[in-house]
Amino acid sequence: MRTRWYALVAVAALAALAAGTLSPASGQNPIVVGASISQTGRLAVTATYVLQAYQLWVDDVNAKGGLLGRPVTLKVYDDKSDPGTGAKLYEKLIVDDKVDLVAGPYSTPVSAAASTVTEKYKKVMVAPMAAGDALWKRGYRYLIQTLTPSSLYYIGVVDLALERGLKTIAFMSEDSEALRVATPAAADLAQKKGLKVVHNEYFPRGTTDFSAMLMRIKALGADVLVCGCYEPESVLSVRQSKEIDYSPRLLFAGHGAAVPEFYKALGKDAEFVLASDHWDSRMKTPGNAEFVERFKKKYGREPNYHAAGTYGGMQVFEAGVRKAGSLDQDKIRQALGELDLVTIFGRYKVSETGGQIAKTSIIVQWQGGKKEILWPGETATAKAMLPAPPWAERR
Amino acid sequence: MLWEPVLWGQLLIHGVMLGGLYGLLALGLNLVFGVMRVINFAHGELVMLGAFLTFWGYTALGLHPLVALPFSAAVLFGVGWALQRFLMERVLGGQPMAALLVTFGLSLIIINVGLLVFGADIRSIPLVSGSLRVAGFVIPKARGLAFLTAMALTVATVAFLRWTALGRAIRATAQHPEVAITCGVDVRRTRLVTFGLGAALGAAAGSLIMLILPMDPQSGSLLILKAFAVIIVGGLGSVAGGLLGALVLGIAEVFGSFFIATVFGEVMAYVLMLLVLLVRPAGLLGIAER
Repeated sequence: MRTRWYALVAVAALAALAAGTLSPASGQNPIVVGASISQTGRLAVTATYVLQAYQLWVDDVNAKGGLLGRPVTLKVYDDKSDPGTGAKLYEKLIVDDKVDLVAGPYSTPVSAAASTVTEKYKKVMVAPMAAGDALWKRGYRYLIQTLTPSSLYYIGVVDLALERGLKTIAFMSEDSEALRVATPAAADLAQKKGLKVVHNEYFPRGTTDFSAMLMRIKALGADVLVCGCYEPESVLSVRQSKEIDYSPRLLFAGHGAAVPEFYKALGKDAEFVLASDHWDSRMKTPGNAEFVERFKKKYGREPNYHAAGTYGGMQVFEAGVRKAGSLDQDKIRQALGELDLVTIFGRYKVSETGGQIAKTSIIVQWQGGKKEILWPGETATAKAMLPAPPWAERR
Repeated sequence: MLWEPVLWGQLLIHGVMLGGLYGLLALGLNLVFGVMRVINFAHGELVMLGAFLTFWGYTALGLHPLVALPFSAAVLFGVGWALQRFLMERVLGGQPMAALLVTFGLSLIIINVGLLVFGADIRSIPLVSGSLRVAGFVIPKARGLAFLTAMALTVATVAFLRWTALGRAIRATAQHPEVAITCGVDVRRTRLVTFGLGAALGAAAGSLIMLILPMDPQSGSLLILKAFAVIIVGGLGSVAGGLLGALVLGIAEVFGSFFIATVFGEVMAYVLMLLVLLVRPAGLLGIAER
């Protein structure tokens, strides 16, 4: 009889302890984070990564005891991949639902539309999936960027070229808003550090024949070719370089060269090609490996940069709220402006406008059918195989 | 560095290879115009269909594009023949605008059905890569192969027009339909064959272009602009003029892209058209209508 009584007390005590560690804030009303995510429509496939990352972040925060001593819950609507609908939903979240914090939607256009609403109500919005520097040139105060800014897409290539003693560099870029920022930033840095820029040209979207441009770049003797491009130009620039027998010692083919389809399209010709990426599961940022593990365990698939970027963005938001010590939006904005930290996604630091200034792309290289991280050095997984051998010497 | 003779030779070779393809691209359009006096706005879409058939043969059946080419040309011959038989025959001889609008509508339909069936993805046949070195010049293998095939098909078409009864009938109908009838030419059948042949040549051109450059269902509308430029520069209805126009356009594009900018290469088609229309409206080898 006596033993059973002790056991009962022990179980009750354990239960209380467990409840305490899991949710010390139970009983308190939760902090509600509102967002609209494209759960249907053309953005839906990618946007599910964003939603899953939000949910994982909520789990993790609650496991740590919540935010400001209160549990966190998520309120999500479907914007149907439509910027106009997104804007209306943020109005609903703020005015009707009176959510405590708002997090960004997926994609730049939806973020752009939603930010007009959040700015109006002076609600801080950390928008983890908003690129495009123009969003931070509108004089808005409450929009915070955590994704790689375009100006830091390609700067790693310059470092790698200089490390190998290369002398001349040529740029060919798609005429798009982001690359009109990314390319000059890299070209300026190259010039400043002593690389000679021999060619810098923008081509309209949809161009398929680059051979004459590449013949010119070849004739000018560029050691480094930087193609500011996405699919399919990433593939075409490599294929057509080979076709005219132009062997740059360093061939960089932009974000489009980081996807598996790039290697599939080119096979062995993709070897030695460099690419830029926002994030990699092997990056040695604090907590990255654990994030990848937890994400895989919860959802049964590998996280991509959209998931990692969203999670990293929420880590920033969380740090901002903790630093502010309240849900006062202006205090949070102030704190976010002062923070300088490294999330699983990379470094975070914003300028006065709220635009990101510290997160860079990583530079990878295709080696033996796999992507190896070359830059930044502290997160590298392999040595750069540079200079690349001429086409004629490959088999 | 940019003024070496070898480099200029290299550019010239590149331009000629491109021009050879443009020639084949425009040949079908030119033939149909010669016989029917109708600009076939859907020619670019027939080119695209041919290219996608060859692509399908390559990916689904593992056929070499040059093996698949005759099949897709044959299929498109049938498509062209049927279009003429069931569609164009009804509008020819009436308002010239009607025939033009029919081909225009046809082009829109084919593009959108293409988008529905093939999707908007960009496809290519990356089978032949790399280059050969001939006398110090770099010859891209895929471009060389496409150029040689295009030239062979062009020569075969010219020979067909010159030395076969059907070819003579096509030329006769092009010159003067009424006189052709009095000479015993079955003009209606000639028109069917011509439209079929035009589509088949387009399909061949599309298949060869896909060896070099990627295409999507909307690429046809870009290609037909080049074909227009070629026949306007060379002279509407003139086969030899078309070839000359194609070479001029190919070379102008390569030099324009090289010395000015890639965007300018794309502008060349319009620049040449404008120049020719100003200076010699009938085209380089065209005969002015009286």
